[in-house]
Amino acid sequence: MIRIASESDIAGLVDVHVAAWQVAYRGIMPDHVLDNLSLDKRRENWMRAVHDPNRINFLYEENARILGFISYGPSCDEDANASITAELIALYVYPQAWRRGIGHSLWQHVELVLENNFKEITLWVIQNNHRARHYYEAMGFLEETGKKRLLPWYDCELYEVRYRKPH
Amino acid sequence: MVIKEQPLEQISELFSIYNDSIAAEILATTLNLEVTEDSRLRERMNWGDLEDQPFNEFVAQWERCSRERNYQPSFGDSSIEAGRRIEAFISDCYLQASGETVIGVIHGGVLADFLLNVFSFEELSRVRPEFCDDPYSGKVIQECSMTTVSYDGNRHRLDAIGTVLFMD
Repeated sequence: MIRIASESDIAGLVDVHVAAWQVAYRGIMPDHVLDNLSLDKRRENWMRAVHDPNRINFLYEENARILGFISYGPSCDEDANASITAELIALYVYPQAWRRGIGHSLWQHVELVLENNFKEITLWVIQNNHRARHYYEAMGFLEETGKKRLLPWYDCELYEVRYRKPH
Repeated sequence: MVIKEQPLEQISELFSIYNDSIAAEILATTLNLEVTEDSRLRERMNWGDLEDQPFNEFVAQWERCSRERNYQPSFGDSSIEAGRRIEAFISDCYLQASGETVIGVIHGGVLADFLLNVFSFEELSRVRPEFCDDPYSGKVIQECSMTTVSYDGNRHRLDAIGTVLFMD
């Protein structure tokens, strides 16, 4: 079942978020960062996210357990027009549930509203995260030339590149 | 783009909510037809139609409309009412162009509203079993896909939902 996430889902969302980071970013981010992710910080971030009027968070639930989530909203990028450009902010699935089509189901669930209300969708992805980049490319996103930014996290030098999906 | 399944000469009219819809423009050029605007083809609700409506409130109402098809959003139409607009559009097409093929370029939400109004789950599942899993997702009614319905003035017949094989 796919539904909008609320405050009561935060514990399950944090579980998915941390577990997905620890597997997906292993070898991309330093181990000491991934092994010491702050659950309190994640809970704070999710508390803001579920109450942010410009952010929508859908979750995928199976047998009362959250297995994935997708977040999106009008783009906050300085060069974007938020009335026509949406940003896919996050798409994560619990690692043990990868390759079951959960990420694709989440994407398909939000695709109609995104395409009805925005002319284009962008996302930022870590430059070295080749698995995610291939996934987004399969969804029809294309890398934008020259759109790159340094991630301000954890004192590790990581860059993100921006992808765009016009329609 | 080539429409393989429908002889071009049988397509008599092309309707869209906007004259500048990219899909309608491409079809108009390919078929050498003018686009006729028809506001009944508009989506059930659109973000921005209600001034200052937060995006999360819009999506929450969209979701509720999809679950409770009689729910009236604060701006726009219920799912049932939106589907009835398409029913009326098809009925008028029948009266004005009986026996001919008409293309309506419409959004996926209002198309799903129409299909759910007119056809039973059994009929929908027979044509595309996966449609009923999540009618308002992009799973079946993809962008630029084609849904084919016949109407004889009395009954609708569902021929295809979300076909994408017609384009090269």
